[in-house]
Amino acid sequence: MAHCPVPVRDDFSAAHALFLTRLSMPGTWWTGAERVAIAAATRSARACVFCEERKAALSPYAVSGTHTIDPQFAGILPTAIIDIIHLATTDATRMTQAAIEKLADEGLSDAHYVEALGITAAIRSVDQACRGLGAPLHQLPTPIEGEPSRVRPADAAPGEAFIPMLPADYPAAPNDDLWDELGAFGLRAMSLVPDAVRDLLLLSAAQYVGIDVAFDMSKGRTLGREQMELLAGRVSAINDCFY
Amino acid sequence: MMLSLSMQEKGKEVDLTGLVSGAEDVDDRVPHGKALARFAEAVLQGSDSELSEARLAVIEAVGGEAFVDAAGVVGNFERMVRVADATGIPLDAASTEMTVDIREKLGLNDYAMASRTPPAKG
Repeated sequence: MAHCPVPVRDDFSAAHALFLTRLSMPGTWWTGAERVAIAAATRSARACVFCEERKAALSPYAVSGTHTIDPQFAGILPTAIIDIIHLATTDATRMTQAAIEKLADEGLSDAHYVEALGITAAIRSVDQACRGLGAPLHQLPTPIEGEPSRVRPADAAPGEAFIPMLPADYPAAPNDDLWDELGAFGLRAMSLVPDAVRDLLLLSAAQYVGIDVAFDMSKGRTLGREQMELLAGRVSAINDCFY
Repeated sequence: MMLSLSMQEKGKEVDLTGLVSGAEDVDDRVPHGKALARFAEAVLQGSDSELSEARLAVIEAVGGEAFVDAAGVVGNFERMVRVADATGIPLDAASTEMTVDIREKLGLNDYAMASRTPPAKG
């Protein structure tokens, strides 16, 4: 954050640093190298010509082509996950359950997708905050070797979204830190991979407000809560996000 | 909806039109709302020079600490919208009930992912 025109509070920088450390480590379904490559693929989507063509097409599946990727990360990820990461980054409103289920053709599960989406969304969040601040993007971390844990929550169930989620009520251990009495869809969305929810909570607490006060409209920061919600609403509208 | 609720907390109403149509239509009852909306637009869609101009305007309007908050919020919701859309989650039931009028007025029911949310029961 050294190039930012104003000082950046410590918890903000620390959340970014902790996320990047977690990114480098083996995850639930992807290795550290794959997780870092997913973050790199997300960054590449910003300047991907094929994504532009696809977004302009009546259907994203009506055109064919090759995504732009950073040559440094070539050959690390299956093509199908790069494709769906780019779609989630540049044209997320046209994501479909069928597109996610098609990942199975390359041996990838819905949980692989959720972890990848969590990384994509998180690095986008960090990068856009840096762009706003006028700071250079963080260097992606060196991956740490090791195997993914491959633990799927036994109580995750399909039916409410494109992917299975934990039930809304108080989660069973070891996921009882995710939410208390009633998990909102925004929290439960990535609960098929609980660590993806933990990344969301980490970054939200620094870049927005903590989950404990998210619905208390009297709680803001130096910026007033109504000013924060104006920004949130405008970002959502630009992204054509209904939620 | 959250903007409406946060303004109600301060005993004020707000016109939400600018959220969809752009910074120039942002309700002046949100302090420095137009400058903040221009900043969000510049981060997402602007050139480097447009962003630089918008950034300086926000710093001048709200100060450095609040500017950092603003950059964080923009980044945060760049994440939240992708998570919501790419997982196909519906609106929570309470939000569905409370936003019937807002969604109608702002045309949000025409958005691609609107079909993921069942109609309000009321």
